[in-house]
Amino acid sequence: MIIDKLVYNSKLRNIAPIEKLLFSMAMLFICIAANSFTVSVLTAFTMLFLIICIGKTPAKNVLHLMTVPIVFVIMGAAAIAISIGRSDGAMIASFHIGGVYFGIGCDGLILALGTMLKCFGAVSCMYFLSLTTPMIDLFTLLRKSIIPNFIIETAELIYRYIFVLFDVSSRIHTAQDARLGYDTLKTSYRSTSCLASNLFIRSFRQAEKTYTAMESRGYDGNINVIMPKRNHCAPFIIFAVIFTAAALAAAILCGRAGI
Amino acid sequence: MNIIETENLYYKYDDGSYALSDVSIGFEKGKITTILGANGAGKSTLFLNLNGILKPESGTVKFMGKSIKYTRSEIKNLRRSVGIVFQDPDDQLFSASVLQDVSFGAMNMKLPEDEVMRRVNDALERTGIARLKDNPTHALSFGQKKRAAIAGILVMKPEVIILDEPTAGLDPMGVSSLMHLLKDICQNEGTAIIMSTHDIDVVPIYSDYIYVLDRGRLLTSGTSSEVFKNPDILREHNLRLPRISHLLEILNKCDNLETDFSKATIGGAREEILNLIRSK
Ligand SMILES: Nc1ncnc2c1ncn2[C@@H]1O[C@H](COP(=O)(O)OP(=O)(O)OP(=O)(O)O)[C@@H](O)[C@H]1O
Ligand SMILES: [Mg+2]
Repeated sequence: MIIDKLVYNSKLRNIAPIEKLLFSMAMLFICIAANSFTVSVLTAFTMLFLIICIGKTPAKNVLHLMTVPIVFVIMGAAAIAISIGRSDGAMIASFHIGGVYFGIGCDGLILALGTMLKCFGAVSCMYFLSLTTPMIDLFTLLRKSIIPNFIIETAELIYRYIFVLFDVSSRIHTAQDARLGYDTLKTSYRSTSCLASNLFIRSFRQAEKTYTAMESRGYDGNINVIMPKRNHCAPFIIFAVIFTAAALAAAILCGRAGI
Repeated sequence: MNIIETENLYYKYDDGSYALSDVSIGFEKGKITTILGANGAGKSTLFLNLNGILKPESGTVKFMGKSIKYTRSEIKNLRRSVGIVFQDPDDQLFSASVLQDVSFGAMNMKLPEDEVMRRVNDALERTGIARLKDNPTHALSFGQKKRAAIAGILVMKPEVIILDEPTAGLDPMGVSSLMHLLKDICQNEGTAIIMSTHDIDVVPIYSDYIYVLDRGRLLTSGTSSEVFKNPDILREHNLRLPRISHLLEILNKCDNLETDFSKATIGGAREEILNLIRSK
């Protein structure tokens, strides 16, 4: 939900979604394929720079979002870094239980660090897309793709009604809370079960009502809506091309130099 | 001539209770007709019958003098001509994009895209939410959602527009600008406007005709001065007079002054008061 709020305040929001999608996908691909420290760091910095400095999304929120995958990344990296062996020859630090050595090797450490940076590079590409492109723009893009329309229409309806459901559930929760519904453990259980069953019934009725309302506006099985045309933003295209080219060049150079 | 009317309309919900019994009413082009009634009187049910969403138990709904036969094509035509703005905007706004939601009805009419765009912009402008058109629906306030729902019907330019409690949740300026907009549409485009409201003070200002429902039955009808002439019958059924009429009624009944309390607008009241002063 926080991403949804941030994206509508992003200064990059009005750039044609296709441009942002292509740019972030290109950078993502280069970052993963290059397999290089430099390129990963470069990608992450470019994306963060765009999100924070150009898009004006508050740095605090962005960094907070970046910490979401951090636990997984660190745990994954640790698993890669630690190696098990019969001797501690290639290990920088180690301990042993019986004849089995557990330790961190040089190769493992580099691989772990590389993976970690690559993850951050890739995650920042995805955050660039999700922090600058509203869902409704993405849906519009997807409608033009080969994905069957009914899938996108369903996704769109789900996206819309998640917020309605969320709203209703928080209103019911407040109403219960105001009447001491969450005072003791026992009443909490009761209130929660009430809330859940109520939400279920409401969603059912909501679906019915929405269908009725759509029918009364001539719904014929397809959700026909206007697709807003977006003007292309020349500065962004130029910037994107330059950065993608630079990343590509860096990837090739670093690939040769092995850093 | 009535563009849409009902004859001896009965409607029963699944639980067996009659939400409408023997309702025979009509609505004219270029007029604003208000349906009054307490909660549960059957206003929303009536509207769903007028738009062909609900099929009456017995009796008929007539559009342009012809009774509707509930075939697919007839229903489709009826819905194209009779637009309905629902009581709860969340029921109506299905799209996450305001612009796309507003365009839905017009796109379903298979209009050319630039015509749709023109109508959408016009409707957004008239409902005062043009600057919100790129916002997500869930980020709108209740009143803004309500306006978006109204815009979604305006784009279809139907001959009849039904609004279920359009003024609920709007700020005071919003209420008067909406009512101005409705007046404008019905005068310039000859649209028949049918609305329900609990905001009884705006009723006499804008309504050309009033029907009062009570527990599914037609209680009384007439112009605002005819309906407000009998305050007792309204009070018996959980309704009241507009404040201005109420004041004139108190002056009449408690202070024994010669006032006509069927006058319910500020202009009418002013005239009454001036008459009183002059006759002294
Ligand atoms: N889906 C339904 N199933 C069963 N009964 C219903 C249903 N919807 C409405 N009713 C009943 O039909 C009657 C008329 O309801 P309706 O919604 O038409 O009232 P209303 O005049 O619009 O009221 P309000 O001012 O509260 O909107 C009420 O007694 C209500 O309980
Ligand atoms: Mg109602």
